[in-house]
Amino acid sequence: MSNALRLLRAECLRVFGDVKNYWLNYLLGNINVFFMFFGLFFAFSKNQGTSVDKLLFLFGLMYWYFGTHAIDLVSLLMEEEIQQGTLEQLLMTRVPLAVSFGFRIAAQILFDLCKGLLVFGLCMWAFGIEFALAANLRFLLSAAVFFWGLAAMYGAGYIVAGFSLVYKQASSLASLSSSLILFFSGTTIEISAFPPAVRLVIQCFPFYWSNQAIGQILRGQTDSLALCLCMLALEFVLWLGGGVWMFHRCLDRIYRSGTTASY
Amino acid sequence: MKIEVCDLNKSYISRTKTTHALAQVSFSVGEGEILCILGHNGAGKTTLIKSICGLLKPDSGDVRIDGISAVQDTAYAHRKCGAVLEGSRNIYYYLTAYENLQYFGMLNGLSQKQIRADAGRYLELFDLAAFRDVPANSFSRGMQQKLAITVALMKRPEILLLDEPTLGLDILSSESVIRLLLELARDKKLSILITTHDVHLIEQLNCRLIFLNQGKIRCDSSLAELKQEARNPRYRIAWQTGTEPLPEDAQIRQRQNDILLFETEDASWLGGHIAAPQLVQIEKCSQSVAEIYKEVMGCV
Repeated sequence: MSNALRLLRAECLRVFGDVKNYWLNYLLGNINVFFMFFGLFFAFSKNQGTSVDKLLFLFGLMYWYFGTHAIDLVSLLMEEEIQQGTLEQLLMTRVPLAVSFGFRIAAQILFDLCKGLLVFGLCMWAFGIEFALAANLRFLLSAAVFFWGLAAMYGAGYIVAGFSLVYKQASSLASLSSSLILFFSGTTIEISAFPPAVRLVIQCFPFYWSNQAIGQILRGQTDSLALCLCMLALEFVLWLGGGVWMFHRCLDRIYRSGTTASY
Repeated sequence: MKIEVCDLNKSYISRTKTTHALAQVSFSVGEGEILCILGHNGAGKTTLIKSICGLLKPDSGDVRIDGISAVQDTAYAHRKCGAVLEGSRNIYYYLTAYENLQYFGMLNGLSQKQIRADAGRYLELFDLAAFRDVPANSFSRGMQQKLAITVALMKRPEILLLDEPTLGLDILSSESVIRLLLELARDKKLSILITTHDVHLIEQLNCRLIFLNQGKIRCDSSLAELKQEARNPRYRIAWQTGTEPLPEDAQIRQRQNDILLFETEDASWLGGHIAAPQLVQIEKCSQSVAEIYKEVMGCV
């Protein structure tokens, strides 16, 4: 436990060292996120729904923003390490790279949580969502499911990060996920509007089950909640396990090719 | 033996050619031993260093650290080795000197107390104490290199691998690196492998040398032995000028009044003039590292 805390502290030191240098980028970035959410809220006429509908939409937007971020973050961190020339030093530490990146992600989530709370609160006020909705157990459960689904997306992040060890600019793959999550997660367009084959593909991604579960929790309709949570758990294991496996395969490849310091 | 390198082979294959970076390389390094690896650019030095610390998998052969295969168990090699690799920055530029040491110290399992103690000691030693809280991106090349060496030492390694450690260092910093390396080998029994082109560093360390050429070991011997075994000993002669002709290879160093100071490798000329009245003084020159290097590599 103390080892985990030490690693988390080390990564927080690194993340906040970054924030110290680029604080203006982060500040303006947050304001930009708020305006984007605000625009989408009216673009999809969500202002006419109930408070729960608006809250669900907000969760969907947060998932879109942070889910996309989850996929590209690990590969961006990896590309940054390679470009900075610090990857080899990181590989040489006593902590496996996948683990140290895991803690870096945790530190980043903590940082994103601070950012997210600010944007979330601002959006609740701007969207006219009753603040009482955020002060009950259902909301806390929804937040927990949100982070669970988000963690599964980091599995996809590990896959892209593995590719970025081998191929230059592999993080551009992550940009695909942006439209995918925005339009195919049920946030902006109802899933039922898509053909069955597309619906099947959408169900292979954790954001579908996460959003379904959050919707059921917030609406108090728990008839298929157990199925949603089981599927989310299964996809969490598959995506994260598969992601870390692929990451190690790519790492092994660069150990063989001798390109730990370059692409 | 601390490190045993056995029949190491590594080739890099591209679409147009295959480069044999290492071919049947074998040697061992004891505890507390310093070994310098010399060779032209592209001789396979960095490939060798990376194979030892587990950053590169060889095609065949093995590297054993304390009897454990670094090829099979790369995590073990990573734990035992500290490295400063040429071409890598090795440090985070946007973190301060102390934050870098704190970060890598924590990743290497050191407590805050240990980090404070080690960081204080090394920052003092490398004259970086005054820059403790300054971001590394404002450091000079030499200061960054000193910080990178400190980062490698922060994990308290048993093996230290340094790829061009004195690159960019000023004379005083270079001297402090040399002192530190000798101290680490003597007192902490660290096995140290260095690749370098810095002849001053090699002279000062006066250690075992491995000459690598096109991935093969050309020579493995100590500097002292190499100086003794020099194939063509060189003599410095003080000679009273007269009509007597000098050897053909004579290199005149100084002329003072009627005394000429020159150097020659012509032992037969010397044999014929050893009793000559013009011979004022004779001294066997010690070969420089550069001369030994050229001789071993067949560049003369």
